[in-house]
Amino acid sequence: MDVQRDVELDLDPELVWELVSTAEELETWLGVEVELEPVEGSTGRVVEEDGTERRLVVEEVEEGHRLAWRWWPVTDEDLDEGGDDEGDDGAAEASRVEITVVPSGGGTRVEVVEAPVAPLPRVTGVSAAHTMSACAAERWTGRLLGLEVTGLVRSALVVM
Amino acid sequence: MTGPDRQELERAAPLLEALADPTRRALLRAVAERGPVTATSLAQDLPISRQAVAKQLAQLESAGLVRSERAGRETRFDARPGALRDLAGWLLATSEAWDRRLDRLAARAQRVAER
Repeated sequence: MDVQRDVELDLDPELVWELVSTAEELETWLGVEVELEPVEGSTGRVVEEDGTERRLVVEEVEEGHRLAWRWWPVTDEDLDEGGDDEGDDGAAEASRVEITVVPSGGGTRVEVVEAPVAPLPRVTGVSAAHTMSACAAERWTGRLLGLEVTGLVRSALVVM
Repeated sequence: MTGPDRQELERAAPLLEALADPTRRALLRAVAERGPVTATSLAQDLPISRQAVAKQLAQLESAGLVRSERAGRETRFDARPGALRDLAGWLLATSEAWDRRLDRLAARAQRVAER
């Protein structure tokens, strides 16, 4: 289960890749302040309009096609500590974002998948959440919660 | 609109993992509908052994989706709706955040196309 979104853009894939992989362009839509280099292993940050700040590590770059990073929110305590420890703070709340650029008709489709990263089974470097996202039947596709989860929430509420 | 709540996200990964298995989902639904209920009683109505039920219940419990309570010689299981609300909260907040971002991306693409 994960969050999936996509958007069709009336623009060539090469231009769209620029929109999703350069800090300058990312600042026009992802966040008000973005530090990100499309280089595997590089670190960066994203500050959103509401002040939410996340640190990130770029995990996968397939030039012109796919960009994936892991990000996690920075807390006030993290900031108070000052140091630029881009490592483990907030790792328990990390999620992985994968952006794929796909030629579509005369334009381009941008697909986004965000999935929580399980903190414990991260030994192999492949997140459990990522493995889960391969489970097509579990996919989160619409604007609303999957019916099954909604049903569970409802029946769980009835029990209360 | 704020970003995904910290606690929500912290608990989302184990929750999603617990919910990824259809047998555990069926079991969770049964617990939600019938709890507090024993593993033995659940096993009678599901096509799996009592041992398998106990094992899956333990996984649901460690994910925070059910809790157990001893009553005499029995252990009874009950659903914990809070955990699912947290998960729903993370999914909704994350979905809405991407809706807003992709709206802005579409607007940016439009401006670039007009250049």
